Amino acid sequence: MSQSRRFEVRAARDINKDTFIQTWPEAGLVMLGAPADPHPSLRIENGEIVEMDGKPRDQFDMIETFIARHSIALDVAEEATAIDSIHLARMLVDIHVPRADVIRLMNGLTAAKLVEVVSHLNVVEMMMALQKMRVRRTPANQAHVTNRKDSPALLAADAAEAAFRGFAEIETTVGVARYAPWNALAVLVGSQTGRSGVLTQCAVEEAMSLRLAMKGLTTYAETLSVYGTDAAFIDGDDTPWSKGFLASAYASRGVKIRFTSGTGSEALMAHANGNSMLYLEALCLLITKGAGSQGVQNGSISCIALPESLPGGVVGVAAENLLAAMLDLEVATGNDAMASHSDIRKSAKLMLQFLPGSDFIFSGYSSIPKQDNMFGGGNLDADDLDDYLVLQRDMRVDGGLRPVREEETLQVRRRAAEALAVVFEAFGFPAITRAEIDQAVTGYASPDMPDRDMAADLAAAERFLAGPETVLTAVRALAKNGFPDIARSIFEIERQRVIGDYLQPAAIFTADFDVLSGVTDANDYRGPGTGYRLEGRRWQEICDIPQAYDPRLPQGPASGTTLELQECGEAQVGSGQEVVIAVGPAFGTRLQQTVNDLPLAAVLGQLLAGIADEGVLARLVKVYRTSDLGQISFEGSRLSGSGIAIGIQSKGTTVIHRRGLLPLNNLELFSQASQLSLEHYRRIGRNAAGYALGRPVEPLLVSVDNMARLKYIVKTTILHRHETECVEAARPPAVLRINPGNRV
Amino acid sequence: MSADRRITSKTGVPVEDLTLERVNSGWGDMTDFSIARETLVHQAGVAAVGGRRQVAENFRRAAELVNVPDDIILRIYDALRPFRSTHSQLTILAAQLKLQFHATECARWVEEAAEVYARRGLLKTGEGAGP
Repeated sequence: MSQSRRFEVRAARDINKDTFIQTWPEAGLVMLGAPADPHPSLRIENGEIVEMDGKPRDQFDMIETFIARHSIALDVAEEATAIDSIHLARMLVDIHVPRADVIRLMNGLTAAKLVEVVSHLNVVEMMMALQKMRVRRTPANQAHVTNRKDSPALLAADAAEAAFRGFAEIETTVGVARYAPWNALAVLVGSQTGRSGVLTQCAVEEAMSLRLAMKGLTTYAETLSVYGTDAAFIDGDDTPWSKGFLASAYASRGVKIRFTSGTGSEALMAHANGNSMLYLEALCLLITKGAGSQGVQNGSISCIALPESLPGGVVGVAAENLLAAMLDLEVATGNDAMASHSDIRKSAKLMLQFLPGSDFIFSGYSSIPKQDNMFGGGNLDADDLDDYLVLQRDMRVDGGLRPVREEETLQVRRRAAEALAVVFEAFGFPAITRAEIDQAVTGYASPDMPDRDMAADLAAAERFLAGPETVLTAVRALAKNGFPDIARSIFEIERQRVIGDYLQPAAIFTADFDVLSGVTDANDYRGPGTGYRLEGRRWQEICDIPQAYDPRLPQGPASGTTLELQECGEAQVGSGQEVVIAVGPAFGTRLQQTVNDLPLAAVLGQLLAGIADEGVLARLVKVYRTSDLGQISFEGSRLSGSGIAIGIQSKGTTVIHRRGLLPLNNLELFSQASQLSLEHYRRIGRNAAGYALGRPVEPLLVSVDNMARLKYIVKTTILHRHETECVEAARPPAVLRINPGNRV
Repeated sequence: MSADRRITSKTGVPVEDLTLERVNSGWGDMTDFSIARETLVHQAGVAAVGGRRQVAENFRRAAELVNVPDDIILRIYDALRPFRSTHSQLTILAAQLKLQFHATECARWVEEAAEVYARRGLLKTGEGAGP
């Protein structure tokens, strides 16, 4: 229990729900530099590696044997190993060294040397290096689309929306394993409804995953996990050779694959062998490279909270992403699993991949509400999409997404659900009902979806998997039943399998099925003015968030009475105990509401009523020559018989002024118009009348809001700009009369 | 990239003849939409030119697997998992790949696994010793 209230409040903050530990190198709970980590070394004899990272060949374990035989480019290994790590590290950020030159050398490095190289970089240098070293020039993003009920209509609608929002890949999985073929089908149909060419996968057990691909239901797979120690690998029931074979098997069916690895998995399995997380990850990446996988998803993935508990954990995760890129591997850079309770910490971590850009910034952005994320992830989810879109616009960064409008989004969701209903009918599956479609369009998450007969559904899904029907049946049904565009997209996805260009590193499709990959869209970053630049139509698209409005548009009356004022000649200096209300040049003409939406008619009515409460006469004057509040009130007090004037700008900022005071001095100033209510204006009227009568007056205190400036500065600026546009420098002040019938 | 070469599906259908209209008229099955051995060999060449030796090797192994039936593929994968196979079982699989499917690179892959598994004790219990 804290004695201090402040410590107590901090202790309850989200950040303190996260777990933090000191390092424990023997258990692998350290990012970098565990005592057991080897020092770099490499000896080659007769074209074979005979010593690697301090270990002679006859002591190599399974992983080391694999790496020595497959992963390291022997023709450059000696040259690269001889270069000082610090020099290699500098090449990573040196814009004068082309990416290809760096890649050539990195191909010859051992795991220990790779880790030594990245350990020389600070976090900003790592981001610079990732920007330069990632495979594809154009950054992209991947979505997770799943739901707790395995509702097919909702999967289709969500996949459609994810594709429509710009995700280049969509990954789904299952709650119940036997739903796999259905979920893959729903996400395929949905994705091609939202945007042609989006790649899809269904993460399930390997044999099932391969069968789905063979039926034409998925286009890629990334469930090929690798580990950095023999024991962890074997616990995962695989070896580098079994995973490597699987990689070839997928490619033989025209399916793109990427491996999965990530810091912390070995420690979690208690098989870290006293090595640091980053060293073990370097081994994983060399296995990935050696097996010929075009890429990897890493960045700790589901173990992310482990590195985040350690010193240097977040930068270490950025380092593992960079290691993948250094090895010329496509990298989907994590950010999928829950990394923190703290929104501040989550956002900060995201920046390390978001700012430099990566092949896939997320290896699964939860485009559905996290309660429906069956990967157990959702570090950012559907609720955070607007935040993400604003971040893109703030930083002028292409995070792979685009702003969308609600109406068009709902249309896309409906079409996807309806298209899937047609496909279900063609396959003879239990029907997708109208009620399901409606809920899939507008509902929040799977609890909103009507329940289906699970037993009947699973039986149908199993028959489908075992039977002869393929995705081509779906294509025909869609073409025949009013969805020819979706049919064409799915057909084209299948045709691309035959061409195989999308098997090349970091490949995605555009909506026209052009392949963007390390071959067709190679990263050519060479410093400012090169590489991917967010410009032109794409930048305009990112700028155009629906919340942004045109500040040039007139600020129309939203509610309340429009003030109608009549001019009755030039204002003269008055006499007697009057109070002049001096208004700005746009008051009641171009502008009709204050910054916090009070109708100017009502504001004026309250000022007049307040003055009348004290039995004092009021005169209304419009000042044209200035929009400045000090000058408006100065002019008013000059004209006022009592010398007392209320100056008010159209945005509602108000001052009580007395003749003889300097323009910037005053009796009472109400500078935060957003804090003023109609009651306040009435009391301002009374106080002004009190000054005119020469009575002692208690100044009106208005509360201060720390957020007022944040909330109102834009509107204040716009309103003041409109008022200033109405300034006529040579026009004398005019007396105003409220039109008869304009009740204020 | 694909314009300057003639691509056919595994069943020999030129990629230009794979049309939605034909599919809608009832033609075709998934084998017509399967990648051909030559196409993967071509992709291997593209990868090699780009300096991606291992990716190229993977595509070459994939090319060899095009004509290997799904069930045999799944069986080989399973056999390569730890403690699933004896040394001679892996050797027989390698021979089958070589002789029946002309998959020499894949055969070499399986033989290498057999050798390493024997040395690292990853073979099916009962046969610990290597060749």
